[in-house]
Amino acid sequence: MFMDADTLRTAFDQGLTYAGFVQAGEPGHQHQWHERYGQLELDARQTEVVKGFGRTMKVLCLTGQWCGDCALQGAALQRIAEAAGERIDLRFIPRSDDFAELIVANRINEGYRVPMTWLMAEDFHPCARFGDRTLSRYRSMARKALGDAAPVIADSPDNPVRAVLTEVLNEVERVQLLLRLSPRLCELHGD
Amino acid sequence: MPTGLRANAMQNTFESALTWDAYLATDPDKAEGWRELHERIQLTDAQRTLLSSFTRRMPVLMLSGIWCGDCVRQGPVLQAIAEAAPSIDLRFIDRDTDEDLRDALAVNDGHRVPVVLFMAEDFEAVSAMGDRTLGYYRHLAAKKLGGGCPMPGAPTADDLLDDLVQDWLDEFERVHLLLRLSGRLRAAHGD
Repeated sequence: MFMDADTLRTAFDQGLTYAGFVQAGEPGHQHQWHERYGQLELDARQTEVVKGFGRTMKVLCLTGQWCGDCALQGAALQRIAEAAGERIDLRFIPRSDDFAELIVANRINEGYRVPMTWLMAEDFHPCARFGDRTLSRYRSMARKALGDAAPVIADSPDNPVRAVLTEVLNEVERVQLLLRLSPRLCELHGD
Repeated sequence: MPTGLRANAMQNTFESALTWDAYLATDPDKAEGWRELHERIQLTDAQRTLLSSFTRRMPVLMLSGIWCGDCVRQGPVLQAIAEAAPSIDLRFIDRDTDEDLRDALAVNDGHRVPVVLFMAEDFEAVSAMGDRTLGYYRHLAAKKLGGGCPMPGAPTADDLLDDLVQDWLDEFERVHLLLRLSGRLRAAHGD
């Protein structure tokens, strides 16, 4: 979606693991990633969902070490990938000139926004592009920026950080089900 | 080389697309199923209040097949949402009308429908969602995979239609808040 499999595969192959990406950032930016990771352990039900995944997925996150929403979603993706084991292969790439083609072709509302995550099949065919912020984050921002005029009705979540984990996991689960029920993959895997 | 979706091209495509009534008029026999489901959809008061509070104009384009069962189930939901939000301008276009757009929004190596493209008022792409929502996929997985469903944590929807409305509404709300809080659009509108 929005991008071809070959371009995504090339970017994925140049990507870093979560640990490698965080380590490559400036020391001052690493703390927020470690903090979010510590807050986002999957609960028992979430772990059960992820352990049930039957298809291998490639996940590529375009991100910035300096970006708070990137740390939040990136740590959530890492927690999900760890629980999924071999079923999720996750890589991170920075919003840098090295990936200009990908970045320019994927503007959101005329901006080069991050985080942006592609959820792909095992052969890198894209199934979804997720980003930049989740609904709960936008609701929170709208309340702060617009006050009573904010077009928001929903109650604030009890735990805003874990609300984002739920939203990220929902999208991963959606794509996993898309792949599990995909006729071409069912034929390929005989299931 | 992928170039992304260009606003001027999207504007041309959008302006050639059809409104609900015009789209259904292209195949009166197939349209019956769309109309029947549309009549069953009842938004809650809270959903109507939320949608009536939207202030940013949002062109929304559904790549569709009037013959497609998933489109029959989801197109009427989109129409019901658009009817409750004067700022949403919803159009329908047959999947094969614009091959570049069709290819750009391919899902899992297939030209699946529906895929819905959300845009800013000047036709800058914001997000795309399809082919099915999470609630819809959970419902299908429970039905098709049954006791062998690899998603033990996934609840089975008691009412698929309610899930579809809420799933789609969440993405409309997310995109609207993205646009409402957009720096460039706040500058343009002085709000």
